[in-house]
Amino acid sequence: MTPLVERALSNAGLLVVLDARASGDEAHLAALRPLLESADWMLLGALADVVRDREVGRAVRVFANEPLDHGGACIDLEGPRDDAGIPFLRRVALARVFSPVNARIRVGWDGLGLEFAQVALSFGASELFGAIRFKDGELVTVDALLGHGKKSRLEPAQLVKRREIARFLTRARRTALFATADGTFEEYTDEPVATDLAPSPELALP
Amino acid sequence: MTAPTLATITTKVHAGERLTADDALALFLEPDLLAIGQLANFVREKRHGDRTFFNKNMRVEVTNVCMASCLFCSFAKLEAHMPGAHTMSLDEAWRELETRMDDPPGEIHVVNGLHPGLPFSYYEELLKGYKRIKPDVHLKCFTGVEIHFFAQHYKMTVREVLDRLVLAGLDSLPGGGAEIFHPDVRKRISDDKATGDEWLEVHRVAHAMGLRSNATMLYGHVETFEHRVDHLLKLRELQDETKGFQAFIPLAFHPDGNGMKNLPAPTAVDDLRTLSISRLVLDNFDHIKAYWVSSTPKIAQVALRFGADDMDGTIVHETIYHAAGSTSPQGLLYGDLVRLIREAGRTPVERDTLYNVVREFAPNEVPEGAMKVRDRKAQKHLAVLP
Repeated sequence: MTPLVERALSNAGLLVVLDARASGDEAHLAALRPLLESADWMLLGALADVVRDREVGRAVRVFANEPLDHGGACIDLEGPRDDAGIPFLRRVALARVFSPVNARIRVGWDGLGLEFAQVALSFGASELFGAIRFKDGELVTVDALLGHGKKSRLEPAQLVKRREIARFLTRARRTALFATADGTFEEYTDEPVATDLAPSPELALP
Repeated sequence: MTAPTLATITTKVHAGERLTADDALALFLEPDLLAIGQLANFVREKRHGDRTFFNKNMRVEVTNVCMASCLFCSFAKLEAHMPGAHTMSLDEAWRELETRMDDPPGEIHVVNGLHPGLPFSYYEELLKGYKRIKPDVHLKCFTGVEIHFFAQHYKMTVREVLDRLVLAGLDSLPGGGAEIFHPDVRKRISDDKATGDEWLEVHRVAHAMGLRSNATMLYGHVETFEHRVDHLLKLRELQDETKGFQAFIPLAFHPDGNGMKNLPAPTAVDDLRTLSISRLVLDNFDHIKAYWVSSTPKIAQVALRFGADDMDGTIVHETIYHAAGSTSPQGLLYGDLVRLIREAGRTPVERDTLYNVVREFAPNEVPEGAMKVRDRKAQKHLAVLP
């Protein structure tokens, strides 16, 4: 937790929530619910972010087309795109603060969109789930290919799309761990895009 | 000298000290997004409290024929005879306003391609016609790139171009065409139009004439964080000199259908981070705008706590970003903007182009007939209230 966030949480009287969670004092936590429900949504998000970092770390598990059940307390939050927005972020943050310790708070991107799901990761969410689709909404089949140029340069669309999702997570300074069919997790990185327009080397600033 | 940290930057921001290039770069690399957002929000609230501005405006793009071949553009057609190329007749362009006179916009925002075949009088008549239809409408027209093109193409100085356009009705300049100023990037993505220095010079001349303008930055393509910082500092420097900029608008690159379609678009977190850093670095800009067309209305709403104090306007019919794959609605209704702002815990303030207050909403005040969205795309983004 940065000093800035700590000071903001302290000024809003929200640091006690962290103490209540750390001590497992559920009665105290329940008594704090009205305070949290009326708290500023950004501060609530910052609080949930601290809780998430402390309990489950910054890695993000991604369930793309994979079975969702990997054990442990799990809360799924999803909805149509109409549900995106500040009320949804508040819901995610409250879920984190009031869920059992180390709970999996999972946000679905199918309806909300990957952009908004990415933002939810700063509000306490720790996992993402959804189907891998093309831009037009069509599901990506296992044999679909994607890419530019010659056929030999095409890649499995599933792989390309997983990299796209991984990019959303690395841009949010997270590590993407994709669930696999055998129940393990595989790390994906945001590999540089093959292009002659790659960023130039370091630029001297004035 | 020690490297800046979030703590040292926070101290500077709270003391009202100016951030350096190194500070800005450190913020781009800082993982704590919400901390950066809080800091930007501190500055935003110090300037504007909860007030969040928007206006009733209308976009018109009279021609997409453009002799520039910018790699990021999905809107332009290089030749007038190419499929999809379109240039409105003056009557067509004026009709865009005439058909909206039952609920007229306060501002018309005109941005076009660089059409080599139109006479300069076309643009003068365009403005005169809008003023004939609605004398008090504010005409925010032609980017710095267009003004530079007019000067070259019609063999005038920038000052002469602006003088003639002001005589025809021009009131201010939009901020488009800035892209990324640094020549390393500009040469690669838009080599055949105004350079960064030329764009800045157009705005310098406009400000000297008393015209106000906005500024933008197109980010998330081939540029580095250093290039973004360089861009912001150049704007800050000119603003120190002229004080003519009103708002800064970060614009996210969209890759569909253009020469950089193999690049990924920036993500929502990058949008929020860039917006926050803009608020912190541009300490001499009054307003930072969350352009909902570029980022979607929902992310723009969230941005109101990441340094933004303006949500642009109703727009009505945007085509440039939509050609590049934007999934935002093409226009928002007045009431939708009010609701988006209010749900972010802010006070909606309708402004004119020059930020004079038109209407400040009281708590819980609902604009009449407002809660309908304009089209099917919008309905995907916005819940329709009963």
